[in-house]
Amino acid sequence: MSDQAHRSTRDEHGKEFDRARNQAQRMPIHSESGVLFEQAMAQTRMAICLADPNLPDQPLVFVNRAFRDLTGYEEEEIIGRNCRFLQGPGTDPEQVRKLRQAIANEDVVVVELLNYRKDGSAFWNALHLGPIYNEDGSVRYLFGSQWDVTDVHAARADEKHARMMEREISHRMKNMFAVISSVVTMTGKLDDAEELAEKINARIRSLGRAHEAMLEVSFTEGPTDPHPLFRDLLLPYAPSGEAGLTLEGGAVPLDSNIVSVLALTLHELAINAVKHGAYSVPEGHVRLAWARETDAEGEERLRLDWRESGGPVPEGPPKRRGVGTTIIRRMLAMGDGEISHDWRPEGLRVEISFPTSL
Amino acid sequence: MTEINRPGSGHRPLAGLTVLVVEDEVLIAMDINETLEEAGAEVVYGRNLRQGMQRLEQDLDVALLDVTLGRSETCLPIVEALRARGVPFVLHSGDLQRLGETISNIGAPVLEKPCDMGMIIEALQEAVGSAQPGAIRSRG
Repeated sequence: MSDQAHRSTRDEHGKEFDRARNQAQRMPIHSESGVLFEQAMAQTRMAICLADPNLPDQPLVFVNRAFRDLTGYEEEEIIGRNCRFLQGPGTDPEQVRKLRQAIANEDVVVVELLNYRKDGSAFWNALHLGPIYNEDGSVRYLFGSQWDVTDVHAARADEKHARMMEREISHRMKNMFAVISSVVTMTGKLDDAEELAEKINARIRSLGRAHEAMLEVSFTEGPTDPHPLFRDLLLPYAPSGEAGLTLEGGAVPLDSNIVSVLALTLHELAINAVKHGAYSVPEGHVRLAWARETDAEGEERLRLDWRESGGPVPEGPPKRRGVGTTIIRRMLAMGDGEISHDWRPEGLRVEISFPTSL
Repeated sequence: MTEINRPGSGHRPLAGLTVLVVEDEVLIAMDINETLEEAGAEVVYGRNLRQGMQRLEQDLDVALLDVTLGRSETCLPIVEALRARGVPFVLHSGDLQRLGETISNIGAPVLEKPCDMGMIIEALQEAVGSAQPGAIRSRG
C-alpha cells in the first residue's frame, strides 16, 4: 500500500466518497447496496475496478482510490479506457490470452501480470477477474481486484537464486574434495606411502560427506536435525546397513566447526568398530544418542553417547594409542571437549562432550 | 609434497616468544598451535572472541588472529586491545573477498587461508621485528 493512502486528509476522504457516490449513482445499483458499495470501495486497500463488457472495447467505468494509488493514474486518465493500458513490454502475452479467454467464457480467473504505472515503473499485479450478472443472467460488469505482489515475486526470485547458489557451492565443494583426494593418492603412490595416503583419504572423505550433508541447512540459523549427517557418516561402515545403526536425539546447532569435529570423531569411532568392535561382525550394532545440556558455567554442550553391541568382547584399552584416537583427543581438548572410553563386556562405550559454541 | 616449509627439529625461530592464537576452527588451531610450539613459541589459545579477550591478561609478544569468529563476531575488539597494549599482530582469514574492507581498515599484515605454516612463522617474526626494532629479526 502507498503512503499516500495514509496521508489522505478528511477533506480528501470526503471528495472520495462524493466521487464514489457519483459513480455508484451512474450505475443502476439498488440504492442501499449502492451506499454500501461506495463506502466499501473508498475504504478498501484492495485496488478495484469495474469494466463494462457491453460497451465497445470493454472500457473501465469505475476504479477506487487504491487502484489510482497503485497505478499512479488519475481517474480521468482511466475511465473509458480498456485496462490493457497497464500492460507493457514485460507483460506475458500468455497470461493476457488466459484473461481474454476467461472473459469470453464468463469464468472467474486469477492471473499474475507484469503491469506498468504511469511513471513507467513495473509491478507484479495479481489480478482477480470475474463477471457480475444482471437479474436476467446477462453479464453487467467485469469485476477486477488487483494486488501488488512485487515483494512476493522478489522473494521467490531470491529463493531460486539461493537454491542455485547452493547447488553451485555443493558442486564446487565435491570437486574440491575430489581434487584433494587425488593429490593425496598420487603423492602416496609416488612417495611409496599408499597405505598412509588411503588413511588420509578416508578422513577427507568423511569430512566431505559431512559438509555435503550439511549444505542444505548451512544457510539456516538455529538448531538442526543431525540424523541425515550421522547416517551419511556411519552407514557406510555398518555391515548390516540400517539394522546396525540406531540414532536417538533431537536438533543441535550445526556450525561448520561442529560438523568437522563430529565428522572426524565419528569416523574414528566407526573405523575402530570395523577393526576391533561391533562392526567387525555382521550382527554388530551401534547406538548413538545425543543431547544438549548446560554446564556449570552456563555454556551449552553437546553430549554424545556411543554404544557398541553384538560384537566380540573388547580386549580393553589398546597398549598404544592409535593416530585416530590421538587426533580426536587433541582436537576435543582444543575445544574444551571431553572423551571417555569404557570397554564393557557387551561392547565399547564412548562418551563425548564439547561446547556447541565451538 | 616436499616443498612444505615446516621447521625441522632443532630449528626454533620463535623461541622465547609468547604467541596469542585466536582461531575458531579447532582443527586449524590444532595444526597452527603445534607448529608454533615446535618453532619454540609458547602458545596462548582462544577459540572464540570471549576466550581471546580473556587471554589478553597474559604477557604477549605477538598474536595471530582469525578475522571471523563464530557466526557473527570478528576479532576487532581484540585488535583494539592489542593496539592499546602495543602488541603486534597478524591477521589470518579465509574470507578476504567478503571481509576486504574490514581487513584493510585494520591495516595489519594479512595471511590468506589456507596458508603455509612457514609463512605464518615468518609473518609473526616480521611483526615482532617491526614492532621492536633490534629485537628478534632473525629469518633463518
